[in-house]
Amino acid sequence: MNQYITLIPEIFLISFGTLTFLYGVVKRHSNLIYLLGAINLFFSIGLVIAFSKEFSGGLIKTDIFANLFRIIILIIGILIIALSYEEMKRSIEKGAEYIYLLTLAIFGMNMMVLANDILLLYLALEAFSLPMYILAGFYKSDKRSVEAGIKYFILGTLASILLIASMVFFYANTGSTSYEAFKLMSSKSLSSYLSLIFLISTFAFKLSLVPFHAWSPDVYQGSPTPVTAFFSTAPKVAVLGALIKILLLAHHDIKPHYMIIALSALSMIVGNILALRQSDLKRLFAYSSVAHAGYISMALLLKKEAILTSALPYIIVYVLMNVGVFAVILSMAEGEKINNYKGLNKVSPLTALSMTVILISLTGLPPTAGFIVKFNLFKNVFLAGYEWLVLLGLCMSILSAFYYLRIVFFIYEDFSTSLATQNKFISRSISLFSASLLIIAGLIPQLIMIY
Amino acid sequence: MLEKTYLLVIIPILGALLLRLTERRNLLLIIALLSSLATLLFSIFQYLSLNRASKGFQFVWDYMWISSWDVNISFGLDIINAPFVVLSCFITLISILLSFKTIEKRLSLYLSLLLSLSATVNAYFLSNNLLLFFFFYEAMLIPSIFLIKLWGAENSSRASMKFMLYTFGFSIFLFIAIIAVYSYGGSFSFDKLLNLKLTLEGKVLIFISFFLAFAVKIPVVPFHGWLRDAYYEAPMPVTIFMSAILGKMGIYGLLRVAPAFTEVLDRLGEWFIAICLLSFVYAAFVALTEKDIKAMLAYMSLSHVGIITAGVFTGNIYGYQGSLLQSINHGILAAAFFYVADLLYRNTYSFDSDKFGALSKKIPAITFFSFAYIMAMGGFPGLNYFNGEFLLLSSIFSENLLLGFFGVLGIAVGVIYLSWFFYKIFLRKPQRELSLLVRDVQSWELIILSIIFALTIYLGLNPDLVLEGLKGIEITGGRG
Repeated sequence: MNQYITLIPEIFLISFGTLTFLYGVVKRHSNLIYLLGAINLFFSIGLVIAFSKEFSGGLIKTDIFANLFRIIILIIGILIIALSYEEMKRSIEKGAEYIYLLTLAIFGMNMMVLANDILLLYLALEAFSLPMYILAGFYKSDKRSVEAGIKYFILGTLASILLIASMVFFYANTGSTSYEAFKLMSSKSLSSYLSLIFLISTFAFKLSLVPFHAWSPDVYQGSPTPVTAFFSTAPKVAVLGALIKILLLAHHDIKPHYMIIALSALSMIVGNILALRQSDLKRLFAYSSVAHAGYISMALLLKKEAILTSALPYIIVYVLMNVGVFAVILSMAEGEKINNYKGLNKVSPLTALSMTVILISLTGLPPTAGFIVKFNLFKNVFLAGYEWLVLLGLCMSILSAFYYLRIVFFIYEDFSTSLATQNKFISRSISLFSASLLIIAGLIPQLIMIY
Repeated sequence: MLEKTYLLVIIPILGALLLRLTERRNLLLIIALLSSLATLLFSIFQYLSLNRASKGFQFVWDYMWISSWDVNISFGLDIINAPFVVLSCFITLISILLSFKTIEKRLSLYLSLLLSLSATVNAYFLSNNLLLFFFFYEAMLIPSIFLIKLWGAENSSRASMKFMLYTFGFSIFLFIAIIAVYSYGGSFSFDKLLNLKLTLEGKVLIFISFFLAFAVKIPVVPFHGWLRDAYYEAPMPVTIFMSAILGKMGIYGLLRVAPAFTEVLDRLGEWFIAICLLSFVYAAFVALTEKDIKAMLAYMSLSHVGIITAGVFTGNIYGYQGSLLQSINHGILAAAFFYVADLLYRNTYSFDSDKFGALSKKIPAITFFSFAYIMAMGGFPGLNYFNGEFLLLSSIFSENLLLGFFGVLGIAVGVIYLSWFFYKIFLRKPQRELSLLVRDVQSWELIILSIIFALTIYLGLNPDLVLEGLKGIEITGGRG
């Protein structure tokens, strides 16, 4: 019975979400649906906090970190709904479906973080992937959006197959599907090794690590912008939550170190180099998030607790930065074109300032939080003995300064072409909010260094 | 009051924030001047009450920052960083005064960036641990790239990007050095540097990392690619700040870490000195060929920091003292030269030295001060540069005769291009007619120039103002 108590937030989320959907279907053209969607997530956060007791049993297991991941995902959900409200309310009428799909995806992600069984992991992965395929192709009349949906679907199926392969080997090795069996996994046998390789490939696909990244630029570019913001944050948090949970259980020696190193190094190199020449911001940030996923996955090489202390602050700050960036993109007319940022400072100084802070944080310069978390991550990985990987990461983050600061320089050009800003209050406040949090967390790192 | 070292950082930041509230020129003037003057006075006050006999940081202000790493925000002064802090406050004041003359657009944003640059630089000098040191090493980049980019000349985008990529790029080495010290010493504190238990190879690697990170900031010749563009494209007050202070950040860093690596300096010191002197001589020759006043001064600055850096590596007390003293002297004089260049620029709106000529009659005051500064820079006894140069040369000669010769060569070339510059601008017949609008300095600018001149004389006669107490510290492993 206890597991249902732990699951109350998710049960609430899905049932209230369904009711909201029904309401939305009955009363079309009502913008109330967005508010209801946000309220739903808001209450779920409250419930997660209320029922935050550690629990382990059945197919699920929760502890303080799992709860933290759940809360982060729900908060992302609220922010995305707020961002979508301004973008979607005029252009489409299917608000109810949109919100419901988002809610379903968030439900799936939360289940993924909660899962303590590889079967549930698979179900959760599918549960959040399916709504996201549809979300990617939500603008039916836009060819690129449909293309993004199809592309994501086909490649996403591949990831599911990889996960099934992993499950097969896992079961063959341990005779169980519970995460607990990771503890017993022996390092010598081929099947355990294959199992972990396939598992990490699945996760790498969702994290868009090179060479599993091929879908991300097109999908990011084609999807509706709020959905892109969602893509670049929530699934990564969920996947990292599940992966970290598994790696904390598994014996340190059986991790496929070389594979993680290769994934991380390739992602940093490819992501940063390909981002250099992009002129479409959504595409640029697709590559940038490939690179950041590369940085974060360095943390997976560490032992036990060190994974959490290095990855968690980075994830939190990464989420803040990416939501902020996409909020800025949304707050402008055709915000995905880099040329539209020329002279933004003249038109809207506050948006310009928040974009600057966010970009500086993405580069990893003080006094923003990006510096602190990157320093923390690199320091831990360096001390664990992966000097060359860190050196590569440092070089690549210097390369990244080039394309991030190019945008900053555009913003402060004297002549302005970006006269067409839109009066989008919510997006602007979200970008300002995330920029100020980044500064505050950069000056008072205690806030994000949760140990 | 004395313990409140953080005021040196907080006052400029508050000033910077206040400045953003208004666009009225007079109000901006008052706020900027008040905050920079207050910082300067406070730093002088602290400087004079520093106990020069005691070791370690004084007036330390601590604030727990990241408890899990055991890192504090901790600011404090000792006899090594105190002169740099005072210099930085002084130069900030001069830059701000000059800015009112030269900066037209977006003055509010400009001044607030300049003050935050000054705050980060002060914080860098005041930092008591390596992490904070690194934090501000990088943090000063942001205001400075904006200052170059937004108020610079045509190519300022490229210049500021270059500056950014060089400095940020080489900060990798600072990161590595700091992490290495952390992993072997167990903490980020400066004291840990002094008793690192490491093999010589390890120490060599760490020291080379430190050197690379600071060499690009100083800069020393193979790492100077950003210098001409950045100095040239930046608006004059920022150039003054950069040449007088930003370069010194690197030298200060070396002065701070060098005492921990005396074995390395014993073994490899001559190689480092050779690089620095190469920089000294090379830049002097480049300065000789430059026709453009500002570029010439940029290379002059580059040239002189070469020999100043060399002093650190001699590993003996004279070199160490010479570096510290000469950093301050160079800061003051570089600012003075760039200031004069700006005064000249206002007459022709060009830095091309061929457009000037025979100005000595028309602007006697500027002529006098230029001559005085050139005398000082040339090492005239009684003026400030003489003492530092003497210390530096004697330390280099005691290290290696050949290197000493190159030191002298660089100084000789330095005198040549300075007198050539003086001749072209003030004495030679002009190639073409100058406009009649040539004006001499105005009253308050005269005061600034006189103050700088007075400082060169005072420091020339009384170098102990900077050096007192430095003998007591055990720095040498050396032969000095």
